[in-house]
Amino acid sequence: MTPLRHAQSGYIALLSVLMVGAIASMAIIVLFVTSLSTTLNSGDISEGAMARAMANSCAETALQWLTDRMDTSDSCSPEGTECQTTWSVQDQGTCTVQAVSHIDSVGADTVWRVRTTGSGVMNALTKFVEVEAYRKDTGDPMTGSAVVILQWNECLDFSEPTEDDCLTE
Amino acid sequence: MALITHLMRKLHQGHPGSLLIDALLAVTIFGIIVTAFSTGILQGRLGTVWASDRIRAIYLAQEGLNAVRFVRGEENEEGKNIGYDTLFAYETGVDHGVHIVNGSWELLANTPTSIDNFFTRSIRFMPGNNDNELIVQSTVNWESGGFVGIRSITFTSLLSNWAEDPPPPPPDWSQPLVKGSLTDALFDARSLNKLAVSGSYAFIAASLGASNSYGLFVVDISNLENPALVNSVDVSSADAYDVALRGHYAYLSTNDANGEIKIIDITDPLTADCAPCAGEIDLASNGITNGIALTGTGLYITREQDVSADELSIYDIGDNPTDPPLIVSYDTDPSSDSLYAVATAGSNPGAYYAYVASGTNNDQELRVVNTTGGVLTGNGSAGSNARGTAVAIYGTGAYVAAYGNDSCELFSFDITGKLHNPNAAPSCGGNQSYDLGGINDPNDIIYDMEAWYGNSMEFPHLFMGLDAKKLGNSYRHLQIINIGDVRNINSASKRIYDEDIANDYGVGNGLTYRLSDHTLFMVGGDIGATSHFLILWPTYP
Repeated sequence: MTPLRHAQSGYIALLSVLMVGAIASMAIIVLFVTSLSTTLNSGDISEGAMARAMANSCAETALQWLTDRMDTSDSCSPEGTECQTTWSVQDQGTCTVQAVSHIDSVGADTVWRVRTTGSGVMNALTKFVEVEAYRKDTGDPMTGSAVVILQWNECLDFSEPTEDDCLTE
Repeated sequence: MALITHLMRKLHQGHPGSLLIDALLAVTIFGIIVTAFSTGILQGRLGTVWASDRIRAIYLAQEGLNAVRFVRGEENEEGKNIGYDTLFAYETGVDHGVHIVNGSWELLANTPTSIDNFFTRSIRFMPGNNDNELIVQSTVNWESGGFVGIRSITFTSLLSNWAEDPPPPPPDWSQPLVKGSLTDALFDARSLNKLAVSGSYAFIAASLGASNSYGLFVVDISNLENPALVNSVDVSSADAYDVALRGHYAYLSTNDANGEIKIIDITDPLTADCAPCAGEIDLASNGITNGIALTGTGLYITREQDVSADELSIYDIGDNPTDPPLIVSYDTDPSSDSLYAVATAGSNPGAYYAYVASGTNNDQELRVVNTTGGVLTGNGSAGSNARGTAVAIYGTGAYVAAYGNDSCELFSFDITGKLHNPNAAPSCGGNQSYDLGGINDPNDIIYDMEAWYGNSMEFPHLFMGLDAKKLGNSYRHLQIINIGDVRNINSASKRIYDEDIANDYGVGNGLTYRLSDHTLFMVGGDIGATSHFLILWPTYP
């Protein structure tokens, strides 16, 4: 082991400082990245929440449509798109009713599947909401009936046909 | 720069004192690094905290929307959704709050709620495109440390009224439909007079038949298309003229001089009888009791009298429904009078006014009695020598049916602000009179009528059960008019229905209307003619 000379002690100090600086810099970078990530994450959560709120809004519109009528034919669906009803809120996003499908009957009562999508103002992501509702027959072709919600789910997408639950694997 | 170059050269030359310079340089660089490090940590932490607060605010705003949806789903004891109407009643455009009470979300009017003394959540409603849409904004505000001012996040969503049964479309009574009808051998050659409906049963007051002594018929109307006679009750072998229902009892007005009012327990309509009756009311002196009406716990009874005696009696059936005490009675005419029908009005239960159709030949077909003191407070004339047959009250209008004088069979009186004192007597042909249009004038008769408005009706309707001969042998038993303006009922535009849907049925004596599903029930039939129980529905646009 060679003893250190006086001239080398400055280098040790300098190297120490540089090492501490490097570590500190890394810590700062980690902190910065973490902070940035959290911020971006909160933005995504916000965007997702807005999109979900919008998709729910269109589901509400479609359910009201069901309540007001006793008609048992599909109002709008991917197959026979009559009403691609949209609703939007400034600085929040837009939603679309994708399908209102009569999927089953229990006597004169009917079961319906509603599919809606919603996206936030950044249009960065889309939320898929599917509602299954039961509508009792009133016996009067002119009088609607309140629907009963059987399921209200968020889906990955609408790749499944409307006859099937979007959660079907 | 020259100084630094000089120092570096000195450093490399190993001059004495270079260690001090090294140390100073190191401390300086270290200080800079520590400062940067501290600032970085501080800013990083602040950024993380800000983002965390924002994430929490997002969830709180979402929770606000979910809370409003929870309130929207509230139902009353009968299972009917009332939540949407509750939300709809809140003022729009202002900030409300939402909080949990006993495990349920509740709204706080005009009071945004604080959460952990850090977040403030407000709920704001905005009108939608129609009454079935409500736009909801859930906003969370918070003061973010290290950043300037108040931060805020708002989510907007649409709520609709899908949980509540929609109201039916407005009924159109210009083209009614026969929903169901019933006749029976017991109805033949007899007269069904008046009726009342409760739940799945109709109770019909009837005159005695040629071969039976039934004064009350009970009809099962659970299936409107196929009503069925399920019980026939002998009410002391008396003719029954009118019926009123309250609780478990039916009150029948009859001609039994020893007990004019029969009280029958109808807890089980299928086995109800009057052997003996649950109770009776024996009015002073004799005389047919024609009309009976209920307002609150007041039982109003009108009768015919050919002597100086009381024609209007009011009993309280609140505490003792089978043996009610007399509240007051009144002699409307000291010499003779006959009262055929009664209706009541007034906002104070202790000071109702009874509006009575007087059937004696006189000039006072409408008599108004203050029921508190049994005092005659007003009269209304519908032409000299006419006879009142029916009366109905709606809003500020009193409607009196009269016959036997001229071509008009219906007169309206404005009782606005002067319940006891109707406006001046209307004259036949004026705006406050109505002619059924029959060719038998002045003998066309309105036997019964009811006024109704509500449950999607576009205007108030007056339903009249009548006997009016139109062309040839065609008789009309039903007319319906618009009574939206009590000061004007005499116009072709007021006439809603005047056709012959009820011609083939012996009806016209009595009718009653069920507002909940817009069903009109009629009965009638003269002695010697077939009598019917008829159910009519309106059409819908």
